Amino acid sequence: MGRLHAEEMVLNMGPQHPSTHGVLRLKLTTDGEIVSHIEPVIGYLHRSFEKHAENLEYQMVTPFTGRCDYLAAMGSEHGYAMAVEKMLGIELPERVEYLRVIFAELQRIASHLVAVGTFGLDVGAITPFIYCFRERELILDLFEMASGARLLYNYIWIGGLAHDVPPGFVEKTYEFLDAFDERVTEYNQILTGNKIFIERAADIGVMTPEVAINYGVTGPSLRASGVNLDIRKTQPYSIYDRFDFDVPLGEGIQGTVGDSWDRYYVRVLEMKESAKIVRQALDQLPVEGDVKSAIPRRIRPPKGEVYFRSENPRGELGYYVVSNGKNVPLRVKMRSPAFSNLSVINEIGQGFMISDVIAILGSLDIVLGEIDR
Amino acid sequence: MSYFSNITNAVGTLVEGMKVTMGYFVRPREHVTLQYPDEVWPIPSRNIGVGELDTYNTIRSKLTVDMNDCIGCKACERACPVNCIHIDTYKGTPEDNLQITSNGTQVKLLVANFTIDMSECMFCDLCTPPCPEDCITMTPDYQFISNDNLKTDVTPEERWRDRDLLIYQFSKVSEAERQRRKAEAEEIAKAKAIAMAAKKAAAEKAAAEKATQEASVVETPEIITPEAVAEVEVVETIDIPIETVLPAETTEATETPVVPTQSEAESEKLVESEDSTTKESDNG
Amino acid sequence: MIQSLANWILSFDILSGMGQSIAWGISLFVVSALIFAFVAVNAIVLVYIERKVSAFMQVRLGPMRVGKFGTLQTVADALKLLQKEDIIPEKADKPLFVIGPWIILVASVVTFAAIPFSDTLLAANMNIGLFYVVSISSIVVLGIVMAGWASNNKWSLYGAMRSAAQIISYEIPVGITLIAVVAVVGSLNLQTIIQAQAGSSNLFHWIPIPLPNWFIFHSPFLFLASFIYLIGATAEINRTPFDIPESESELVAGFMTEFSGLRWALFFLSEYANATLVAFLVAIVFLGGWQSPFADYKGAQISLLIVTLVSIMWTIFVKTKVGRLSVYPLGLSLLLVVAAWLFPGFAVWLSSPGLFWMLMKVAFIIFLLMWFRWTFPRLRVDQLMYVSWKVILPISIVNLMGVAVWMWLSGEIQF
Repeated sequence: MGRLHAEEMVLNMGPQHPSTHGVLRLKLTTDGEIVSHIEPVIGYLHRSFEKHAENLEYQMVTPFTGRCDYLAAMGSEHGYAMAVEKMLGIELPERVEYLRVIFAELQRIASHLVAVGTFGLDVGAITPFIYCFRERELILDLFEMASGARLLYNYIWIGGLAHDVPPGFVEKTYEFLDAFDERVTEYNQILTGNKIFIERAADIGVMTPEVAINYGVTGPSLRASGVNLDIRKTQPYSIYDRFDFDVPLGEGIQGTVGDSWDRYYVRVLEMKESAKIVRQALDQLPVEGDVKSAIPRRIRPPKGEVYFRSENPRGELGYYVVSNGKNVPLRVKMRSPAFSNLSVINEIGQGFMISDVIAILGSLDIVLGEIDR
Repeated sequence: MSYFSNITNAVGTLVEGMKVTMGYFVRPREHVTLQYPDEVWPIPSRNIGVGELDTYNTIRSKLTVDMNDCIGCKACERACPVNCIHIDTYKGTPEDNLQITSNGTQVKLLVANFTIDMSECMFCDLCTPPCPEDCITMTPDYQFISNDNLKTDVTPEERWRDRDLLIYQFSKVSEAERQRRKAEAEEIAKAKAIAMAAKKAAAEKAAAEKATQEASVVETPEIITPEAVAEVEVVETIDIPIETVLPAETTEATETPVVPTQSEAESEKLVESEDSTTKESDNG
Repeated sequence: MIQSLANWILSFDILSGMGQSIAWGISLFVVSALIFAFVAVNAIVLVYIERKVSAFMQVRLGPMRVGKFGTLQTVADALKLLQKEDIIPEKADKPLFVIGPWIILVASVVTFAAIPFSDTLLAANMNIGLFYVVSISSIVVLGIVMAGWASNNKWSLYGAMRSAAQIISYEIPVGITLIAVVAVVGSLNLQTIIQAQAGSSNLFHWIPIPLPNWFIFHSPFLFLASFIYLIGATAEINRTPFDIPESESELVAGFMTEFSGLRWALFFLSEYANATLVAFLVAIVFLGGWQSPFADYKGAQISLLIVTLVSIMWTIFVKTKVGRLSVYPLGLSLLLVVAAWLFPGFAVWLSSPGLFWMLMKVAFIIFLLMWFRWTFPRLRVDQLMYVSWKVILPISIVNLMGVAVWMWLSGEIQF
């Protein structure tokens, strides 16, 4: 009498799915409910950003960088602007630096709100998602006041900003910050401490520090595994060394270090830290200064190349820009953090059930626009 | 015992969560929904001190051009990353009654065609800063709905191709005039092309003659006098001022100058034309 | 009730000529139509209520445009569903695909025949009423598995399998909890169960707080049993936190994915019919059915006064944003207390049993179910099983034994 032959089933979580954050296709090989192999298939959102950048002048590439990671557009533009400024050797006025930090950190809060909300949505809690988006609307109103657009800004230009912030901006940001801290308490009440949520997220998708470093994972997902690597602290760019903030690490409060709950909780704590940074920057914001004074008339960097890394809400966003003396770059490559973060899903997702795979994907916080570029 | 503490902990945290939702349920007045179009979110507007513009609404939506101020410099066309602005300019004649802009500049070119394809525009606002006369602005008019789309006797394919509603024409020149100017420019361009071809043929003939001449003449280096050169060269010269350039669809390297009388502008133009060949050649 | 309606038909001079059986047949038809109409109207109203409740909990407004405050939204949705194209996948198992939704709906609606809406409104006064309800509502599993299998879709199959496992494993604690109540009453007849909860008595038999004699206040074991039953019932009807079979964000729509148009409307109808059924059972078995909570009109006035005073104290002294009462509940209780004191007839009506109180209790339980749905994330399948077999089941067995001990201690039974 032979053994009962049970085949593994190949299940396709196709490009159109409510829970894959974008058009991502996951091929799951499952035995019943337990997953044994995950293969992500990407490319459904490829829009040839890097090829476009070879035909556009430097200042024209800025709106396209925002469209890659559409949930953290200020961060993408900031990284690109700093890369080109390094090549040009521009010295920026103080006001520009402070404003850029304010916008980058506000964008970090907005992006983490989406991450937290959609993670709750993936595990079934629909209400916290709406609460998170209510806060995000306040931030988007601030961005609309400053730049004129809600999602894709083209605001952080090479050498400065597109326009200065309007007069009521600082007061409105203070109002937002005052209202924000108690909201984080509310999220903790409704989602973070919820026993059902802890059951769904704790001990799921444990990523050890070695695995994380080997796969190139950066950002909150890496810090949740206990590795203390934040580019704003280790290689401070812009004026981040003037601010006092902590880097939250995953400590395994509700399960093992590096599980999905840790990745989620690190993002919640990071929102609070970013609010701290914004408050300090607003207090120290210099009143005088022309945000357009350092913008060069013609951007033609000397021949050379630069790789500049910055801390995106998703991880290390790197720009490798090569110039051959013209006003059109020779090559712009974007090292996208979500791409490396996604690559680890096969390693950490094996042996879990299908519902857990969705929870792990939600905790990694990917954006397909950035992965496919 | 951890079994029981688990259960009590679970019930406690669940009740905490229920309190939050109940708190929102009994306060429906604090809702954040705006019932569009009855209630509309107020658009922030602010003064960024651009010229005479008092309150510059920064919401980046439909573009508008004040044609009284446009001098036809095409700075916005060059600045657009997606090439959605198309401008045709022709040399101004006295009959056109070209005006003086609000900044005091005399307009020298007739802008016959100024279209912006709003379906391709990505609202990046890169076209507004380079304008020297501040005539192109982004307005806060964000509603693109129109009742013209409710035509019922069109097939879906036709409606998709009917993008005319989204191609905004700002030039005040009539269509007939536009066609006339275009035909005129084409004629001039044809004549110039013939002249160039003739010049090239004559130069080739002269070079061939010279070669045969040199082959027949042995070892006497002929001193080439300016008169000899003048004899050999071009049969016919046509004086074509450089402003009447070819229409916009040609991809030659020359472009219109910013203001024709400044030589700095011309040298700039030459430099830029060298740089932007890659951009133009990719023009789809 | 069918017999009384038949008698009423025969009492007309014109119609007295027809025989007993024809009159009985007509009244049977009328009563069945009434029950089906109740289920349908109930689903329409509940869809709207759910959307509004979920919207208010999520700081938004819900449907507002179709009809005043969006009241006609469900009608518009129903009309839209009726005119949709009926798509049956090519490789689907056609007979099962067609029959599946109908089985679920029929099983849900048929159980309403045994539910007493008030002391006179009861379609079939069965001696085994409770047993009938529980057993017929289990046929729903059959329909779900049929629907999932016939869709020829791996995701639907997943949803159907999970649902079958879930419903079957939650039947047992639900059954044992109901047995605890039957042990107190001594009969499976639903009308008898309600009538046994008349009058008022002390809380948990010894604590001297006068409360209506509902089974939820009978003993701490039955108090616990009511919550166990509520949890089990939430799992039976596939609602969050147990809505794995139709989990929207994982399996698109689970076993309902391939059904569109009218067939999907049938699923939806049966989901709300099931929810209403469960709410009716909780109200009948634990909350006293159509009995009024007030013993007489004086009791109504005094109870309402106490409730209003407590709410005013709460509003004044509880300062936290979440704990403060808003103006709506406070205003409502003030209105009620003023009406009860000014118009004794209103208080008399409030203290008399009837359909009104049954529907109030059902509405409260349904609101609880909606509250659960929009607050909690969903449990994974194996956690669902864990909760059922390792938490709910032992507690319900212990409950059963505890109820017996309690009844002996309080003198209701003698050995």
